[in-house]
Amino acid sequence: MVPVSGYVILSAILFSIGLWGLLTSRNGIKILICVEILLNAANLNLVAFSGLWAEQRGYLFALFSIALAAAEAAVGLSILIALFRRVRSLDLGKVRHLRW
Amino acid sequence: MSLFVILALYTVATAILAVRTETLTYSALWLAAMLIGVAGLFLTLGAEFLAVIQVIIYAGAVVSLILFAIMFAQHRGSEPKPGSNRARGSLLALFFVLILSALLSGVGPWRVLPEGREGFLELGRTIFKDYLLPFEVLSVLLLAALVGAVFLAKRERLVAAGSERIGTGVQSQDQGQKQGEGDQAQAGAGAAEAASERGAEGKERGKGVS
Repeated sequence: MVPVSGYVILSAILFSIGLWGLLTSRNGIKILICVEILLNAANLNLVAFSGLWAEQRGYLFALFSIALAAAEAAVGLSILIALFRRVRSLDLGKVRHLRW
Repeated sequence: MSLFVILALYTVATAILAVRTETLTYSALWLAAMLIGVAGLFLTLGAEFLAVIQVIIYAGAVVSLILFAIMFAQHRGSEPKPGSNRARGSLLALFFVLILSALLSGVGPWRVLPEGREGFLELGRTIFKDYLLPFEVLSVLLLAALVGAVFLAKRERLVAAGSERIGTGVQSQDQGQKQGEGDQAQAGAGAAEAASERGAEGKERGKGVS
């Protein structure tokens, strides 16, 4: 069997990739995609440790996290669509309505 | 090479592609590939149910949602330029990888236990006995997210009316009546405002009766 630290390191790498994308892109949908990668890295951790302890709770948390990610994607994308109607662009650098 | 190494390499490669591909549609498809890789990793951990859920909800629903959003919100020439803080962000992420790997590689000899459980049965029991309330709360949350998403993605008129109201702050009552419906769904509306709206609605109803 693979030691859990392998999964944890893989999850850290995935998290960093997501972070990389999050910090370097300005496209709203691209940022949402990166957030999905981040959430998946976290889920991988939960499931790996759940396997370590032969516990169900980690799976359950991962399940809840997947559901929350689906909700987040739905709301985030609809916000982006509403924003696109206003600004005619997905570039978050151009959104200045909420700045002061 | 073990299955884990292959899956790990696949997942990391597809994640990088998802982040780096400039065309949004391809990026979303690479995301789907990455999600399927994560589902494979779940399988190697003995979490069959989660792997199935991952493929159905993530690779199925979320990715198609993203694709729909891309097709709604894109026209030629609307692609934004890549961010200006690219170098700094890349450095920070690299730093993150190094730190986390250094920290985590030293920690304990963890091993995944061989399967000593009844899988689905046990998970179902955990959800519906010990965690029933969080599960129900989650379903309510999903409903709220659904309603919110529909409201936000509705036609411009409604959304614009709502934000205009919030922006100006003070307004005469009859305008408030017109836009009351949109405002009530908006979470930011203050309690006093809501109360005055309710009063306005009551007047409206009274007029209708008389």
